Amino acid sequence: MITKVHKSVWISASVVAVFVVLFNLQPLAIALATISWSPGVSDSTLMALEHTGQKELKELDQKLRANVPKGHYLVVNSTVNEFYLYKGEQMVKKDICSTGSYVLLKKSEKEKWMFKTPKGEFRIRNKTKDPVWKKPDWAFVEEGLPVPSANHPSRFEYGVLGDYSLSLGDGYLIHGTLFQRFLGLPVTHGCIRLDDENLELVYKSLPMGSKVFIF
Amino acid sequence: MKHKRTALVVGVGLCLILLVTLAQWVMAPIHKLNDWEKPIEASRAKNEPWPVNTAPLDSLQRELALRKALLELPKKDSIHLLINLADSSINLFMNGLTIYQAKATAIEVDPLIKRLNTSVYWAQWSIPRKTVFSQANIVKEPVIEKVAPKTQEEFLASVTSPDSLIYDPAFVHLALDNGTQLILSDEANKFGGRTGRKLYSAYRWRRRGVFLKSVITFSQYTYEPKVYLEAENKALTAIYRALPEQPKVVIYYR
Repeated sequence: MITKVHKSVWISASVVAVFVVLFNLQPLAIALATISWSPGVSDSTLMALEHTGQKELKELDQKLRANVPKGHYLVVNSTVNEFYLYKGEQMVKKDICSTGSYVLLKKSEKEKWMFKTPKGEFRIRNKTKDPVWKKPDWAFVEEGLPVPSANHPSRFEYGVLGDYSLSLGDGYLIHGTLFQRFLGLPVTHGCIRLDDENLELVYKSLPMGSKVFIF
Repeated sequence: MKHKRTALVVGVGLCLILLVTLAQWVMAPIHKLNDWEKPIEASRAKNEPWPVNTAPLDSLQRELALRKALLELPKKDSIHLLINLADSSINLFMNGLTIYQAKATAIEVDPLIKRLNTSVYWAQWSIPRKTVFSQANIVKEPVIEKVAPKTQEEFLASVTSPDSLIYDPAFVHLALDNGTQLILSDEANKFGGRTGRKLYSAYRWRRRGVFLKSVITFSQYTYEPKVYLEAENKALTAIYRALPEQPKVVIYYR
């Protein structure tokens, strides 16, 4: 005798079973559809194919390796404010730095400056020991000061960039800072700031023309 | 009697709908596979050589496919994405060089992608894939607007310490041109917390709509296989901000 309870248990169980089957139909269909047919390949053909493949692999590896600079190069992560100094495929140093603050300074609709570190591949264009900072217009605008003439003495500041600077072009520099407590934070006007020790290491490691990747 | 007939018609109708729905759902990955096999057929028609489906050469062919795809990436000052499922890494690739690597802490790969044979793998992953659609809950450029102070007093009054870096839960969704959906999620907040889940849920509702439409119109439902990766939110933020809006993607797995 099948009672009403038995009946509902059977129906529920059947529904669950149907759903389990249906749920597995798609993976089953995928499994069946992807069963691949392998042509019969003789051992000698297989060996020849493997030999050709390995040779091609070596050639492609060589082409890829040709892109890795032989000497030192620098990678800057502007999101987490870190730099990675490499020599070939080996990372030599990883530490904090400071990059652009992403502040858009607006004096008027026409006069505005975006303080961000540019992304892309750059090269060291120039290296300077004991650099002097020639303050651009925005440095005065930012502080609410009147902008002086192009070569006015107030534009020149000594010692604020640290002992060395490396130019990436378009006014962007890798330099030191007096505000070491801000290292690791996005506070610069687009330049890359390092602490004294790292600046010296980078300055001495990267000759002119070395690559700098910023992302 | 009449009620029984109506019930029978409704029952048969419902069964038919269920059958069509089921057929659409089950057949979708097979249609996708057929779609992915098209380059092989095209190449055969032109008598071009194509990797043979033999298990002993499979890993070698996949290694070759990876290198070929990497070498095909444009070298013009652009950053690309390399997903290496074999070593669980998410990489930024620029001008032929891996410039950043983040570890994926969890990976889920669609069974269709997992089970591809050498030929189809080659057809899909020996070339960099284009991103056709992207969405994320990460601000690409966190610009802060500041009005220049008019006097030095105004400047001194407005000086503040820089904010420490705050990383919100990260969620990145890239749809590739071969239909693969690449989902990068914050390891601590699945699908990038509330905002990320909102974006993902909108995508899933869109997909349900497409499925329903295909059932009603008896048209083919396009299957979208997924690759889901979890990583640290800082790393994902850095990766997303580094990439162009529609990056090229290379995927490698064994």
